[in-house]
Amino acid sequence: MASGQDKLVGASLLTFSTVVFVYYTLWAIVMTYFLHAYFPPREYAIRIPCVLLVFGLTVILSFLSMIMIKSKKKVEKKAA
Amino acid sequence: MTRATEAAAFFGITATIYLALLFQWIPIPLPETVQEFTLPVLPWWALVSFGAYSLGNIGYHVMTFRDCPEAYHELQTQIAQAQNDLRSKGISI
Repeated sequence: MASGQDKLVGASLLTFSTVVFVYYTLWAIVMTYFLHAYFPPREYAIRIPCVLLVFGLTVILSFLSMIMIKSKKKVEKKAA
Repeated sequence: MTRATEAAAFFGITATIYLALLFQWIPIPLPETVQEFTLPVLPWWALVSFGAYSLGNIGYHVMTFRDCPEAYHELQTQIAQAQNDLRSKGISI
């Protein structure tokens, strides 16, 4: 079996994703009046993933563009 | 049908059904709460649950990954043998 530390990391990822899924499902879809104390207002259920998506895509694509620019400079340097 | 075509077809069909229900192109009366609250949120919910599913899948497979210690030891001895062999033939490792 995987080492102890690996198992811990895997289990924590699994529980985290399950918690996120259940919480988000309750928040975005099932919201009933019992639960209003435990959740932020429902608009944030849309805004938070939206903001995270925009930030995540910005980081990934700017990283990609930096790498592409660097590799193009290297090619030009070699050709020169 | 290739995987890409299959995925594109599935995605296209779900998107069409969802848009048809959302903009009420089909005269199907849905319950009020579903139409007003649930339908607009569904794409975001699908995205978040896809992310959660991916993360959970990775975690699960990390957790249940099967080591094989015998293969590890065998590989180590083979590496040592190869190193000795090459060293005896004069290649420095």
